[in-house]
Amino acid sequence: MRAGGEKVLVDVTQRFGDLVVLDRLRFSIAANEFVCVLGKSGCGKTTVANLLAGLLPCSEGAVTIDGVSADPRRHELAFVFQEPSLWPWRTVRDNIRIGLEIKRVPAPELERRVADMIELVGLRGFETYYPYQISGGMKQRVAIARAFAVDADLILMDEPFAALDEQTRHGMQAEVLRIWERKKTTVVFVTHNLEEAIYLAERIIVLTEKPTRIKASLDVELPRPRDYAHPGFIALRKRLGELMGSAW
Amino acid sequence: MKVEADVLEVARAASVPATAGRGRSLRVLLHNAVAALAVLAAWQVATWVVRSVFFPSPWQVARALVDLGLNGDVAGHTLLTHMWWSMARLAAGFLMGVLLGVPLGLLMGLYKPLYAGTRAALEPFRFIPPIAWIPLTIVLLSGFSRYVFLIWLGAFFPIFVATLVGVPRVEPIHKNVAKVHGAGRWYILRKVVIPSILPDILGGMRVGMGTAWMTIVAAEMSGGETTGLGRMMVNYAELIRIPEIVVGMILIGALGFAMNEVLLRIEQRLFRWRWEVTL
Amino acid sequence: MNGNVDRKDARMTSMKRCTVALLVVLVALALPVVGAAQKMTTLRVGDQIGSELDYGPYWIAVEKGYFKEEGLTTVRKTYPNGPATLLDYNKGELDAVMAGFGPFLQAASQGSDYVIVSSITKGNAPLVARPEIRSAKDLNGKRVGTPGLGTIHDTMLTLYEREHGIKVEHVSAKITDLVAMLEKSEVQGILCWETVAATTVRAVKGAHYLAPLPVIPGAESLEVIISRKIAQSQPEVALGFTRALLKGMRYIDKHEDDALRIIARAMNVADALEVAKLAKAQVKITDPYMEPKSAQIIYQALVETKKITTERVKSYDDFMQRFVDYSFLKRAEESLKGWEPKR
Ligand SMILES: Nc1ncnc2c1ncn2[C@@H]1O[C@H](COP(=O)(O)OP(=O)(O)O)[C@@H](O)[C@H]1O
Ligand SMILES: [Mg+2]
Repeated sequence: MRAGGEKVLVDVTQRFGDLVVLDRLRFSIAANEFVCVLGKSGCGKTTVANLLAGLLPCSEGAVTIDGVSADPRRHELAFVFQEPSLWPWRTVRDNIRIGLEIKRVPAPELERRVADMIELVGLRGFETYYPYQISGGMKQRVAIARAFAVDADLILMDEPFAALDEQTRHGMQAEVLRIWERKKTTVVFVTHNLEEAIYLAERIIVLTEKPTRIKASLDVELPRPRDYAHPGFIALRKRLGELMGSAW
Repeated sequence: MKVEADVLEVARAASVPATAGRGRSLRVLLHNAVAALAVLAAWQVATWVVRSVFFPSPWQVARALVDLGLNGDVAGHTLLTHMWWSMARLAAGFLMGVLLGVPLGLLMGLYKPLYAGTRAALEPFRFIPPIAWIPLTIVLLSGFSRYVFLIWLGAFFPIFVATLVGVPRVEPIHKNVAKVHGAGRWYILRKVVIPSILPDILGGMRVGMGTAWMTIVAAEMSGGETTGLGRMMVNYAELIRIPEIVVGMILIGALGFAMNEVLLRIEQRLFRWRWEVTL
Repeated sequence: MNGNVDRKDARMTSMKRCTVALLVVLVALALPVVGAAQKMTTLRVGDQIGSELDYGPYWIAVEKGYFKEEGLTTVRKTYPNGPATLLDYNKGELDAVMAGFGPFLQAASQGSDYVIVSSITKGNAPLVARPEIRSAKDLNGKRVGTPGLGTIHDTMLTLYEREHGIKVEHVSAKITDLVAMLEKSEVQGILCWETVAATTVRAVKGAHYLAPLPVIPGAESLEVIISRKIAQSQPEVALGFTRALLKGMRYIDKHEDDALRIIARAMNVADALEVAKLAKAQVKITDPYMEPKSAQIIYQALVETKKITTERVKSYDDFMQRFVDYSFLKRAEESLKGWEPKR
C-alpha cells in the first residue's frame, strides 16, 4: 500500500486561547495514500486540515510536507472546504480556473484542463452559470473540480459531502475515487461518516474527543469498488462504531 | 449522479426573473405613474388650501419650465448651461471622492494599525457637514475648485467608510481558496477583496451621490459663480419668483434620480452574480 | 349605588375647584396684557444684516424713544436680504418692512400688497475696486460681485455698465462673503450696500471707492412699508410709525456726529464709528420722499432685464399710484412744524 515514502508528518499541539484542541497529535501519511481522518464533530478535524494546508500556524510542533514545513506557496496543494467556498462573483468555469490562474498555467493548457474537469464532474452546459444559479450538489462538484484541476500532490478534503443527500454523496464518492485513481496523488479526506471512510480510505485515522489524540489507525484492505454488504465492510463498520462510542 | 434533478433546479432558478419580468415591470411602471400623479394632485390641492400668491401651482411651474427652457433665465443662461455646470462640478468632485475614498479605504481596511493610528485625526471630519466648510472655502478657494472640494468632502466619506468596513467582512474562506494555491497578497487583493467589497463600494457611492447633490446645491447657493442650478434658484429667490425655484428643485430631483438609476444599472450589470441588488 | 353618587359629587367639586383656579390664573395673566395693549402697540419690523446705517433713522427713533412717544414698541426681525424679508412679510409675520426698492417692485409684480409710507435711504450703492482697477474701463470684462441678482445693487451695476460702455460679469454672493472674494481677487470689484463697502475699503489693502455714488444721481435705494391692513384699519399707528422715523431723520440732519455714534453702537462691528463715518458719505438717510427720476430708471431697468414682469404692475406710474401713500408723511410733517430734535 505505502507506495511512496513518508509524504506528510504531523506532530502538533494546537490551542485556541485556553482551549487545547489537538494534544500532541502525531501521524504520518505516505505518498499517494488515500487517508480518511475520522472524528466526531468539534474534535478538530478542520483544524487538522487547515494545519496541513498551512492556513493556520501551529501552536506547538510542526507539520511538514516533503520535509519542509507546510506552506501553500511551496507545495502543490488543493483543498475542498467544508463550507461553501465558491466565489459568488465568478461563473462555474471561472471558479474552476482559480488554482490554474494562480499557478500561471499557460492559456491553452489552462482551457484544456478546465474543460476536462467540467467534463469529469458532469457540469457541461453549466460553464457560464453563477453559483447562486446551481444546486448545492453542483456547487460541491465545482469545488472538487477546482481542487483537482491543479496538479496537486496533496489534496485535502474537509467533509466535502456532509451537506449532500445520500444519493448524490454516493455518486460524488465514486467520482473522487475515480479521479484519485487516475491522478495518483495523496488525499487526506476528513469525515465524521464511518461508511464514507470505509468506502474511500486505504487507511482510517480515528481521532478521540478534545483534547484530541489518535485513537486508532486502521488499514482498509477491502477490494474496490467496495460493497457495503461485504462482510469485511460490515465488520469494519462495527469495529469503528465501537471505537467512536455508543452513539454510533 | 442526479443530473436531472440538478437541471430542474437550475431551470427553476433561472426562470423566476424571466417569466415574471415583463408583466411585473409594466405593473411597476403603472404604480409609479399613479404615485407621480398623486403627488401632483396633492400639490394642486395644496395650492387651493394655501392660497398664497407666492405658492405656485403645478401649472405655473410648468409654464416657468417652458419659459426657462425656451428663453433662458434672467441672467442670460440657458437651463442646459445650469444643468451642465452642476453636473460637471458634481462629476469632478464625485470622481475625486471615488479615486481617494476607495484606495484609502482599502489601505486602512487592510492595515488596521494605519486606521487605528489615524482615526482620531480622520473621523471628526466625517461629522462636519460639507456645507459647514463653505465659509472657509470662500476664503481659500475660487471657482470650480471650490465646488469640487466641497463635493469631494460630501462624497468621500460614504465611499471611504463603505470600503473600510467592507474589507474585514470579506469571507475568510474565499481568501483561503486562493491561499491554498499559493496566491500572494496582490492576487488576493485584486481577485478576492475587491470583487467582494465592490457591492459595498457601489452602495457607498450611491450614498455619496446623494450627499454630493445636497452639497452642490448648497455650494452654488453660496455664490461666487453665475451658473449652476443652485445659483439659478437663488437668483429667482431674490426676485421672489417661486415657480422658477420649483423648476430648479424638480430638475435637481430628476437629475439625481437619473444618476442613481445609472449607478443602479451599473450595479445590476456588475453584480449579476447576486440574487438581487439592494436599494 | 351610593358610593357611585358620592364619587360623582366628589369629581364635580374637584372639577369646579379646578375651573375656578384656572379662571383666576387666566385673569391674572391677562390683566397686564390688556393693560399694556391699551397703552402700547407692538409692530414687527423686518430689516437686513449689516444695514444699520441705511436704516439709521429707525435706530435713532428707537434710541431716542420716538416710537414710545407714539405709543409703539418695535420688535426687530433681521433677514439675509430684502426678498427673504418680503417672503416672511407676505406670510403675515411682519407689520412693517425696510428693504430695497428693487425687492419691493419684484414682490408687487408677484402679487404682494403693501403701502410705502416713506423712503429711507438714497445712494448706498458704492462700487469698491481692487487697487489695480483705476477706472471704469479697467473693469471691462472683469468680475464684479453684488449681494444678489435681485438686489438694487445688481441693477445699479447694470446701469453703471451702460453709463461707461463696459461689460462685466455679475457675480452674486452673500454680502458678508464679498469682502473675502475681493481680497483674494476672485472678483475685481464689488457693488454693495454700506457699511460693507466701507468695511472692505478698510480691510482690503489698496481697495478704494471707484465710484462712491451711484451712476444715477440721488439714486433711490430703500423704502419703508407698512401692511395695507394697518394703514387702513389703524391709520394712527401708520402715522405714528412714520412720524417717529421722520423725527429720526431730522435728528440725523441736526446732530450728525451724535447720530453716527448711536448708529455705530447698533452696528456690532470693529471700529464701528470709523466705518460709519466713512460710509455716511455714500448714503443719504434724511430724505423721506422717493427720488422720482432714479426710481423710474430703476423700474425701467428691472423690466428690461426681465427681473420683473408687467402682468400685475403695468407701469411705473401704476406702481406709484397703488403702492405709495405719502398721506401719513404729509400729516407727520404738518404736526412736526416747529419741532426741534433735542440731543
Ligand atoms: N479560530 C478558532 N478560534 C477559536 N476556536 C476555534 C477556532 N477554530 C476552531 N476552534 C475550536 O476548535 C475546536 C475544533 O474545531 P474544528 O477543527 O472546526 O472541529 P471539526 O472540524 O472537527 O468539527 C472547536 O471546539 C472549535 O470551537
Ligand atoms: Mg469541520
